[in-house]
Formats: sequence, structure tokens, C-alpha cells
Amino acid sequence: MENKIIIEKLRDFLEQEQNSGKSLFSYRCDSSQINLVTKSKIKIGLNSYKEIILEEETGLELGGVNRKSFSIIFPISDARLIEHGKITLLGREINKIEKVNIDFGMMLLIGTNNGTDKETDELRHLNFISNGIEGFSIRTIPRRFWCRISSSALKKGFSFEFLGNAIISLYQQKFKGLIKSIEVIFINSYQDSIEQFIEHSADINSKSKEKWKKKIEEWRKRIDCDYDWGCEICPYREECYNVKQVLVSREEI
Amino acid sequence: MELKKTPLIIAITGKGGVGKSIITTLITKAISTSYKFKLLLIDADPTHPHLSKMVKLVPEKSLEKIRADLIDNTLSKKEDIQSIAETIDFKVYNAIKESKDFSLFSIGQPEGPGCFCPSNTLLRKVIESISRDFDIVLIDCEAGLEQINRMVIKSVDYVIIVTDISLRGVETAYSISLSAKKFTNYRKIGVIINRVKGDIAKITDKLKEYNLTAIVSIPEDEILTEFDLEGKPIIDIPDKSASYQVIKDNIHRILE
Repeated sequence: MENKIIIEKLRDFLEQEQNSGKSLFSYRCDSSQINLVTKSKIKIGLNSYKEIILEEETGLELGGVNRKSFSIIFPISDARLIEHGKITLLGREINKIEKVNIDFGMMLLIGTNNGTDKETDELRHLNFISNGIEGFSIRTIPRRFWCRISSSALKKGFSFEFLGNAIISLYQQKFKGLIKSIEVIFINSYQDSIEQFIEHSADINSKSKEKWKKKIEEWRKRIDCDYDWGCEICPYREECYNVKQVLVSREEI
Repeated sequence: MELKKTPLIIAITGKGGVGKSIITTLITKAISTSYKFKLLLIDADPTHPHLSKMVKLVPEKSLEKIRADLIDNTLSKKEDIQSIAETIDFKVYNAIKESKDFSLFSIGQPEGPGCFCPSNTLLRKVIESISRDFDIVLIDCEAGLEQINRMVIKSVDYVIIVTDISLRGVETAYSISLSAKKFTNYRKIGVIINRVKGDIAKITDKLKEYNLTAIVSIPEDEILTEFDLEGKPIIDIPDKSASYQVIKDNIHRILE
């Protein structure tokens, strides 16, 4: 499916959700909003905040085990399809959230100058965001999202508006020549919206799956086995089959 | 200091009893006091899992326990395949014990029989993905290198072989270096000579003959011996300890 159609489909979905009565906020990261980052009490800077946020210091956990979550980074070369600096939040702002752990999804639409595959792949690694925001730490789980925001960052006014601005600012710093535009979409509070968004964005995943198909096939063949006498008489054939199924399912998430 | 690559994966290995876990602890202390790197320790010695006690960070769950649960759950169908696949990364992450200075997880002792092959591949993939959240991964291995290939991480950047001042230790270091060539794609390999006293010319000559570089020589250290005898956590060793001083002064060379 064409990128234009995929993005339109996602925008239509967000609009429908808003029309159905769900909270939808739209922020803009323009030059005055960049001040939101520079003037905030929460500091940002590339590689400046390599923090481990311990459980007892955690004020809010986004995603994580037993929570619905997604993380989609969608780099495209047609930057015109992206509303640069737009931050959309379907759900509640942080100051309205009372739970300590919520369902959460994040999508980044990134317009690029035709970068190499390696450069584009780099855009998908979020650890530089994790290491760049005070009191914020991402735990990498492929294709899903899990992060901790410290209690002290919450007290300093951490918000999704701030997070969106910080992400845009850090991406622009790190990938200066590569990025032309960037747009952020956050979804929280509505589990059904997260599930539907994942479904609507399946075309993006199938695109990247197609790209990695050959590589995945290669590593599937490389599952080492020390049992030299053959699968037919292997006493662990059933568990081997089952665990291989887990391996394949994990790759397909 | 900037690392050439992250995560920098360092495996510390050597003959049994040469002080691998102690050296790992001293390196951990030197890194965490000198730099702001995110550091993950892997206690990969299933028979002598001392590292966690030496650094005072004992995880509640080992990787072996997760592996045993994984096999049990898939065989008994307690949990469906999809749900296991969705939660396995979280389970491994939750087995990491964290502190402000460094994090640790333990391989643990094998729990019951079973086929290790596909589960090892699965867990290795999960660990590889988790490792991306860290700048340095320090693996305290059991003697030999087989488990690096089979159980933990294939792509080791730096292999540090610890030896004492015995000829047998150096010979083991040599055979480990041959295994490392076969099983890993390391970028650098070097030897730390531990508990040095007197003239070690014979040892250094032998290392040269084997084409192995000595990174540092750690002197016999009374403070360390006392800590070890009393079972005190090595991470608490005072800065004046001679062995720690050598590691601290040379930590930049180890991480280069």
C-alpha cells in the first residue's frame, strides 16, 4: 500500500476517534514551542541523561508487561505527507492520569532525505531519546513500548506535549542532515484505540517484514542444535517445536 | 571518553579459580566511578555464580528459571504460544536487577533436563535486543568460551582472559584464545595477569610466544585477600587497594 494511503488511513482513524467523543489534543512544535523544551525545568541533551530509573523512583510507566503498547517509527522519503512539528495525543495528558502504569503507543512519522538503509534503520533505535531526557528511560522491547518517567520529572511538569517536543528536538539534533520533517502521535488511556491503531498500521509492519523476510529466513535456519542423532529420535522434539513457534511468533509481533 | 561502538560487549574468561569474578567486579567499580556509561553485568558462571554477591546485586530470577518456565509453559500449554512470545522480552528484562551504577542478570544453574537449543536461540535474541539499552555489557564467564557461543551473545567485541602466574594458567589462556577465534568475532583479545608477585618473566615470555598481549598485571593484594577471606562484597573495596588502583589507572585502555 502506498505511504500516502497508509498515512491518510491513520489520520482518518484519529479523526473518527475524536468524533466518537474521545479526547484528542493537537500540539505544535514551532519555534515558540521549542522554548517549551529549552525553558522547561526538565533538561534534555544528547547523551546527557543516561539514567536507570529504579522501580521506587518511577512515577509513571508507559506500556510494559500486561499493558497494550506499540512503537512505530515510519521513515518516508516524501516529506510532504508529514505535518512537521505536529504532536497528536489521543487520550489524557499526564496531569490527568491517576494510574502508575498505562497502555501506551507512540508513532513517529519521519520525512527523510533519501538516506541509506543503515541510516534509516538508525532512526528506529530509541536509546538516544532514552539517554537524552532527564527522568525518562526507555526499555527496548521490539515493536512495543515500555518506559519509565521518574516521580521528580512528573513534579517538574513532564507532559506528553513536552515529550513530543523533546523527541522532535533530539531527532533534529542527532540526524541533522537526514531528517526533513517529523510528526508525533501518542495514544494512551483507550485500549481499544491502541488495538485498532495497531491493526490500521499493519501495512507499515508488513512493508518492513517484507524487507526483512530474507534475513528472518536466514536466522531461522541457524537455530543451533547439539543433538546429532537427528530430529526423528530426539526426545525433545515436542518442546523444540513449541519453542521454535515462540521464536517465530516473537518475530512476527 | 567516547566508546567506539555501543554496546561494547566484553567477555571475561579464564581457567577456574584465577579470579575472573573479582576482576569483573574491579572493572565494574572502575567504570562506574570514572564514567557515566550504562553498564550491564551478566553473571554467566552457572556453577560458581559469585559475581552478584561480589557486587551486592542479587537478582530474584535467573535466565535458567525463565528458560525452564518457557519450556514448561509451552509443553503444558498453560499459556498459548502468542502470549509467551509477547511476554518473553518483558520477563527477561524484569530478571535484571538494577542499581543506579549498574545492572545485573544471572544465567543461573540449569533447572532440570530439556533441549537447550531453540530456547537458547530465543533467549540470546532477547538479550541482544536488551543489550542495546546499555553502553557496556560485561560478561563474567565460566571457564572456557563455549557458553558465549551457545548461551549468551555471539558478537563479543573484546575477550579478556584472566590468568594467574602459573604456566597452566597461561596454557589455558592460549587454548581459550583459540576457542575465541573459532566461536566469536572479537575485535580485541588480551590477558590480565592476576595475583602477581616476584619475577614473572617466564609467564610474559610464554604469552609472547602465544602471541597474546598482557593488558595489565594485578599485584597480590592484602586488602583484596582480606575481603575475599571474610566474604565481604569486593565492590566495597577501598580505593587504596593495589589491585583496584591498577584496574582504575588502566580502565581507559581496557575500554579502548
